[in-house]
Amino acid sequence: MKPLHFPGRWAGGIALCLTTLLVAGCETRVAITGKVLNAGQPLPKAELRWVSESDSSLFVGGATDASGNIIVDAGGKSAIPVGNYKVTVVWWRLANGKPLPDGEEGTAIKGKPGAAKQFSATLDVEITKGTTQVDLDVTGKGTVVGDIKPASVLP
Amino acid sequence: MYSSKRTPRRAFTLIELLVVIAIIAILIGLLLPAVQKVREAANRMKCSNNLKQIGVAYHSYHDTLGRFPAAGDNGPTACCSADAGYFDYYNWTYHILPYLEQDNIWRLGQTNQAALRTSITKTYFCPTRRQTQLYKNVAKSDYAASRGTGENGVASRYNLGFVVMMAHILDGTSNTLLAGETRVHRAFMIAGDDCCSDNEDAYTNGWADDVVRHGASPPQPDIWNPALIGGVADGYFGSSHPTGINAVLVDGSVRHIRFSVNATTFSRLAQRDDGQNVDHDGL
Repeated sequence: MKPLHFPGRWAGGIALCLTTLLVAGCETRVAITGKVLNAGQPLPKAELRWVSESDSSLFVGGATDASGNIIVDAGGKSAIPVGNYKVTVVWWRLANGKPLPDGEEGTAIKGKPGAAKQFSATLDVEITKGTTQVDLDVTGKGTVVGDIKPASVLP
Repeated sequence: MYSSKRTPRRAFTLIELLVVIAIIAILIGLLLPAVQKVREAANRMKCSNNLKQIGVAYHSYHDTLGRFPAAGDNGPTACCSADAGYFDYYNWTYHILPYLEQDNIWRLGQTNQAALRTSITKTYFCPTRRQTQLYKNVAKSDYAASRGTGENGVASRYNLGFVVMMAHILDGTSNTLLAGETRVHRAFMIAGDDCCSDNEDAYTNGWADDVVRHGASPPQPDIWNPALIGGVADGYFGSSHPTGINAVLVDGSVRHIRFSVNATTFSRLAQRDDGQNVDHDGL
């Protein structure tokens, strides 16, 4: 039997194939931590919507926990693809400024005109390979959402 | 003995075989994402067909009874769903069944609430999200009627005592949302409880997020991260599709609404009587 040779041209070709596969099969994702801050204070129970500026089909959800820490929800993964994002931070507050209660009770308040206000702020964020910490400061940027008026009396 | 006169055959070397396999692997790698995309496109089409059926059924209901179906309520005694036999407290998903040619399930519900809860209507399932089967032992719906931004949508709460008719769609039927896809917590879809968004059956769940959603915030993708719990999911429209939701307007037209839709535009679409113009290109 002829001894198995591994000439350089073959090795180069195979390396090229593997690189192509790797580049096509993987996208770079990074795990990030950070807080959302409003007037120096952590903003608990806010919703985060990351809309990618480069990939129109990429949309990453998320929220902040009770201490204002960012939780990323990228389709089952907690790491976020690198790129430029427009991040919309949305938070609901009762008339007295407190966050809404959890669960069904909170949802019911969202549906009651005038019972709670919805604030929204949009920021530009760049996530690079080296990003580990993202702090979003929404101080002074929150605007009340929508022109929602109370339900009218039906004719 | 056969003739042993063999023609000398040139065999493939191991390297040649490896290269062929590598090339085939690359081709498959290129093809698979395309197959996935086609599959999702087909599922999305099926999903929008379901919404079209729901829209047509709403119109047939209105033609017959002169009003849209009520969107149920809790009680009279049960906290979070309708009591057996209180059909007015059942949801729109139940009331439009005869207009989806599902009279049999509708009739079954008249006598046996437990059997109704486990009766699957295929039209209520979006194939992108899940298979047509029972989840947590009851039949589900992936579609919800719009309650506007509170109680000013097409879906009306039974106990409030008013019914919505075509004449109450003051913004015009092509500017008002009828129904769309729901947002669910995928981590709790098969087991566990995320509280409210997908915890009950489609037909008897009362005035609840399972089949009634509001448009005060734009639609959002499904939630996957089990760390996100406690009401952030609830009440919004949403879907398992990558770019947006399918929705049917009151005029019966089905459209795709992007997740990145402007919040004000979407809330104007959801309300039936806000008197504001809806920017259709922005949906």
